Amino acid sequence: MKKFITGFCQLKNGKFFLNGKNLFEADIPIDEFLQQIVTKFEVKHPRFGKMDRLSKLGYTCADILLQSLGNFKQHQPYEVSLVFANSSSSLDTDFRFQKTLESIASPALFVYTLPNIMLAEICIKNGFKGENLFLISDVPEANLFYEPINQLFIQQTTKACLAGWVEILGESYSCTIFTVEMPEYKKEYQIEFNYTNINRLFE
Amino acid sequence: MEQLIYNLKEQIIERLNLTDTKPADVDSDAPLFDEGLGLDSIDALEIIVLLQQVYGIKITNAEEGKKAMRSVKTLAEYIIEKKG
Repeated sequence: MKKFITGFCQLKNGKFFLNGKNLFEADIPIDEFLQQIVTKFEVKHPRFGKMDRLSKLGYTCADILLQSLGNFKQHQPYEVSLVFANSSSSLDTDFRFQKTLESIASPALFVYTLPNIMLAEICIKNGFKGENLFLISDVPEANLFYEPINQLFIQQTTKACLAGWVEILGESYSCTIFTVEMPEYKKEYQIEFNYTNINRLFE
Repeated sequence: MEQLIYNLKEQIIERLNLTDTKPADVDSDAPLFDEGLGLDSIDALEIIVLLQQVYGIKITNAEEGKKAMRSVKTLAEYIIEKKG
């Protein structure tokens, strides 16, 4: 069963790309960078300010990618699955939470001390109710994504998948998010979903 | 009382990362939860921590806490009552 990567967005080294096109760049700290692209691309979420940095990064990139895909919304809620990964899990927030333990633990930080909360933020906003998977690995590579996503499509419960690598720890960050769909959901950008093309996304 | 209400508004905005809100935007009598600022249960816990850290007040009675956290004004009245 052939599937296609129907769009991807990437944020690394102060540059933001959508389907390989550089749409914004600035040599500024990541928090400020995110704030600027949130304004520029009209990313809206009533709780955005309350999210941790991992969620802000993943949510922002996913939102801009999904906005660009318009007809991704035609998928039924239970047919959209999410497969994500990173290397530092929620460590960036864990350290911040640990600091609050010196006085009184912060409940608002505590709720973000799991990396898959980022997936929840994306799912709640977009109404996705399919399978969720968050993996931890040293580096982003195709075999992290290919098999799990393939399996989800084989089970026939998944018709579309939002996937990617969302990593942040201090000032070090990288984010690559892509969509996988069946051939009938043709898009402007479309490359075959295979090992080589997934690895190309992470180059 | 007015100064305490203003301080509370600033502290709530900072603590809950309400980035697009200014103290002047917050109606002192408006409900903090659901309507008004639209806060949720995690925000309520953060306000409880704020009361303990900044004002040294520990809410031990849930009903009392619910009444105190109805609005910024009721929160200020609660602080004054507890601090004597």
